[in-house]
Amino acid sequence: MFELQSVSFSVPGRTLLHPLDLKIPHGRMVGLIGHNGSGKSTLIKLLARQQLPASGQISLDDKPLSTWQNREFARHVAYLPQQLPPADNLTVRELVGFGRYPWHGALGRFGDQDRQQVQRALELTHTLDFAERLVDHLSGGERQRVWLAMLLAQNSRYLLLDEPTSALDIAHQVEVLALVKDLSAQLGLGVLVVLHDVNMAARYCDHLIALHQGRLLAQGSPAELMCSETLEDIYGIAMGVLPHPQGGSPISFVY
Amino acid sequence: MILHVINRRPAPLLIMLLIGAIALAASNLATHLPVDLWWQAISAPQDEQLDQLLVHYSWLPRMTMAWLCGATLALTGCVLQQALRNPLAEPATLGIASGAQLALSMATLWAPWLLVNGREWLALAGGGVALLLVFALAWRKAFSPLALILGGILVSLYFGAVNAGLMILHGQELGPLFIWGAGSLVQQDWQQVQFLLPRLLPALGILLLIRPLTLLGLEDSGARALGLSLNRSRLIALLLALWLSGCVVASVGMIGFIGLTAPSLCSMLGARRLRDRLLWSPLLGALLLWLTDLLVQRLEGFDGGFLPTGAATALVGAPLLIWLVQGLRLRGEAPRSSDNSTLPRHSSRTLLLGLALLLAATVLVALAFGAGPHGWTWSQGAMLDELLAWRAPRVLAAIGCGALLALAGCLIQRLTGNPLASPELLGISSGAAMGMLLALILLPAASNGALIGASTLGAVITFAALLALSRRDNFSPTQLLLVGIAVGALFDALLQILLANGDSRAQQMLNWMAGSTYRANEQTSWLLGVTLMLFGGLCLMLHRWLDILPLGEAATRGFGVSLRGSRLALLGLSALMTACATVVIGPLSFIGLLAPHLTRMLGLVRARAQLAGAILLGALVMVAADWLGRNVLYPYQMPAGLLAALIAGPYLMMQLWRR
Amino acid sequence: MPAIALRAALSILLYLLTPVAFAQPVTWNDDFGPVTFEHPPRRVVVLDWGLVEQLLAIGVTPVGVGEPDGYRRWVSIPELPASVADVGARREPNLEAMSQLRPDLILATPEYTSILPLLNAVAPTMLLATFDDHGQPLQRSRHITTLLGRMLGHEAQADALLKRVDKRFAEARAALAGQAREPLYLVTFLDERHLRVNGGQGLYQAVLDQLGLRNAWQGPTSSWGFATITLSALATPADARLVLFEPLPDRAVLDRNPIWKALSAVREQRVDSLPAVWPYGGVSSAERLALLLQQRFAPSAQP
Repeated sequence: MFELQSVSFSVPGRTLLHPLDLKIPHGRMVGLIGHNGSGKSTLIKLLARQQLPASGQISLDDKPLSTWQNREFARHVAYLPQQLPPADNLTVRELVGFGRYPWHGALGRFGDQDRQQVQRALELTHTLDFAERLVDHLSGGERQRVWLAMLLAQNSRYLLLDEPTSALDIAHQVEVLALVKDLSAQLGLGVLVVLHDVNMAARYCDHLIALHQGRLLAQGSPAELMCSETLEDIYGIAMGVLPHPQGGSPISFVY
Repeated sequence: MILHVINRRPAPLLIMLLIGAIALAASNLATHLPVDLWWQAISAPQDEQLDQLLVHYSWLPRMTMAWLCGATLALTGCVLQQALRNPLAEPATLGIASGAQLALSMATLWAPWLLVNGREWLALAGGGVALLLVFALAWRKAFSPLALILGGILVSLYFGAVNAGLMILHGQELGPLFIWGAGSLVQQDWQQVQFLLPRLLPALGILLLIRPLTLLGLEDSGARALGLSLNRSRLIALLLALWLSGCVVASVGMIGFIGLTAPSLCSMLGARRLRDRLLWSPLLGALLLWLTDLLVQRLEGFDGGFLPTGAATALVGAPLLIWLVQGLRLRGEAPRSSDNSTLPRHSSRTLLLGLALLLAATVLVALAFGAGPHGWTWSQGAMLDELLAWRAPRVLAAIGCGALLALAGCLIQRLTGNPLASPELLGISSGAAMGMLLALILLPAASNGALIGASTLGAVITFAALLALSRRDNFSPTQLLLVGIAVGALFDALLQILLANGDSRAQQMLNWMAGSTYRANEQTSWLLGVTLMLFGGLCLMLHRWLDILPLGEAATRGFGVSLRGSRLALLGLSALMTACATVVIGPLSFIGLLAPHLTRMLGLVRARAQLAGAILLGALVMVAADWLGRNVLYPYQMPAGLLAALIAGPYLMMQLWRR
Repeated sequence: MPAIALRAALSILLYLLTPVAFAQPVTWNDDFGPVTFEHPPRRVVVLDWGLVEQLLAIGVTPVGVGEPDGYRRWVSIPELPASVADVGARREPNLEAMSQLRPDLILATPEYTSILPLLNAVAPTMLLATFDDHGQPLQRSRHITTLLGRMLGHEAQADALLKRVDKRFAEARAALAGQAREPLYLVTFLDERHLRVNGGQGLYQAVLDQLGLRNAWQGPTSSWGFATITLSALATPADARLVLFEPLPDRAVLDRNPIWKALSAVREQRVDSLPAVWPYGGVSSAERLALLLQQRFAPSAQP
């Protein structure tokens, strides 16, 4: 479980995240929503130790983040950046193999166990078919799945995903999020995912956290948050909610 | 009308500088002439009075030239920086200077009649060619700032290499050019002012360009969306800048850094909008150059020495650049090699074996075959034994240096995620060179050991400074490259001053800089061998970091790799390897750039395979270059580093152009 | 035992074949101390043009010289025979080429200290400076001439040369004496705006001293005896005479230059031009300069 105690973050001249207290449970898929600049990305970067908080303390499993060893932390928490870096001339299998670094380290052997984990990650993400192709030749959706596979090969308990669907069309968004949800349930992972599209978030997440201007606005189940007042507060625009025609989570729209 | 919409924040500093300059100028003038004669000397000097003539025809035009050149260079820098969206663009960083210098050297040697009246046009043509080349290299990257700067460095290094080759072969004839190369403002009449002034008139055209230039500051897509014909406005601005800087370079030689520092200082002082910068930077540029020149005049003649103003501005400007790049970030990503979609991926084992065999064959040829007093000969028996004593250390040194530089290049390229980075660009080579130069100056009869020690010291100091300066930015690649440029310029300035003074030690430096295995002996072979084993082994052990680091900071941290720790270790390793190779073979060679690149082209992609391939290829290229250098002009010898650079340069430019 | 016998036999054979007395090691001192030779040196490779000049002047022809074409162009006198081998660049002489000439002596200046071990591996190397911090190039050159003469068996020629030079100096001095001589600027143009003026510890200054002439340049110089200056530096003293050494700049360009025109020497037509004399040479170059100055300023006293 991630626990934040009055955690804040600022850059010179601007506070991006006001002191925040929050608990993020393990074993569920948690969606992080909010308007542009609300602090979603900042929050997930703080949790991934990509940035250090200006004040306050974050702990993972009751142990402050700062006291974790680098590789030990990476064995528990895997992070997918918003912009996927280019993978110059690497095949899918090679890239996914990098996910094993936290386990074998700089000098250790890349053993059978590592190979099996890579294979498993490729199978789980249905990327086995193009395992020997170059990453940079894949489509956006395929690439996203490959990086997800790399995170899985890392075999961590938490996945922190920063807008994993931002570059994808609607079909691929559904594909990736469904996959993540599946994996989360199947492997018992804790997933924290930043999402732009509140309807997608409501559909796939077990729990939503809404930020507004660097402050926690609301959190709860999708059903609890998907009402026009809360959505209006989050996005600052009048919104309505409709039930899904075939059941399932409600759908929001802008008036 | 316009004045009240101009930001006046830079004014106080300018006024202070102005007061300082006027005071200095007045005290300077007072040494020439009593105050009551000043006006007469300035307006109508008496023919018989030499001191008055000197003020009128030397002191005054020199001051005018300082104003004109300073203002023009600053304006040029301002326009270039805006048009190319690049805070580092200026005539020197874009290769104009090196092109002009090369054109003049070549004309001096092979077409001296061109120099009589067309010196200016020659310089302009050379500078233009260099600039076009840089633009061509950055064309497909849509003039991305980093691509431009890298193109500029590559072209400057290449032209510099060709020029160094000419100087090694024809130092005696090229002597006078060194003065021009170092940028002298000395005047003897108003001719140069008369030459320059009308040619600067097109600068007024910038007034018409203010609006399109402002929009050019946006990203291309943004500006295009606003209905601006980007390429035409940019082209006009660039042509204008080329013309202006070409004229200045042609008349007074290379004066660096004014075009860089004046606009940057203005922005720092609060001249945020282009309009403000276009007004303030020429003023500041004029003041800066004037002040520098006044100081130079004051210092001159202490030691029978001669201090060219251009070199002095570099001495002042380079540290200033280091200070300015703190916190500066270049927009536009580094050129990547991923566009090379057709890279073959061969079995690395077969390839490496093939390379090793090729290297062995080359070494054999380099040892036994070569030019001699009786033409080309394969040596055998006692003859070979005798020659081996001379050839073996050089071949070994070439292997060692080539391999070390190639390794360092691999490390730096992976560290910076930039396939065009190289040890030379980090400034460590220049640091080592500076150490050696200082040792040559301060210890008149320094032994080989002392020289090696001094250059190692120089490399280490540069490296430490580099680390201290870029620590805040987590050793960001851009910062490192920029500091590298500055250190290189500093060293260059020092060397220019020596060359302009006809110092024979500078000639010795030229040879060493060009990268010769001449001084190699058994000790150097041992030194290089042990270093190669040790550091090469370390690199191979750290291959996983090298695989992961190019994936970016976020991913690297995500894997639990300590960004700072890994970068520090790899930086240290590459710096040490660069220093070791540099003390033997000098700072100028493209091996560190070329070998890793070639290895990739061959399809050795993963870090371990690339490192092994780079060792072999680096050694191979260097041995071949050394052999060529020893034999082509026998008994004259061209340094291996220089030949490697001459061969590799066009190839690298092709690569940069194609991506 | 047989090895020793063989060696003994060989030494005897060598003794019989060697015209130059004993193959005894000999030792000579260069600027840094003793240098030992297995036998008196005969085959000399010279890396510095100034030393080439001094060697040729006593009638010794080296077997190899660095950049001989450059010597013929820039120093030219005494003439270098075409038979002399080229050993490559002066800065980095070709060690292979040198060693194949089988030299038994290499002559160089202290500037070669950093590659001395390499040179010594080819042949015993002597470092001799004509120009050093003491600024006595003529004395140094006399010393070098005498030393080379004794080492290479050309003692008589060396003595003759020094006597001839002394005589030349004395004659020139006498010829130039008795005339009120204005101080001289000895300059070489680098380009239209910059020139080199000779003085200080250089060879030109030494010749002026020998001839009793005054140098107008009293400023500092490098240890080679020159300074890089601009035209305005030639303004004082007002009575100075300008001696320009070739190559001369374009006359038309100079004539347009107001400062040049305003120099008192130019206005009062006290400008002479002389052929180039290698300023980094020894007694022989000095003799040539003395002769040129005498011919120009005291032509009547020509012998």
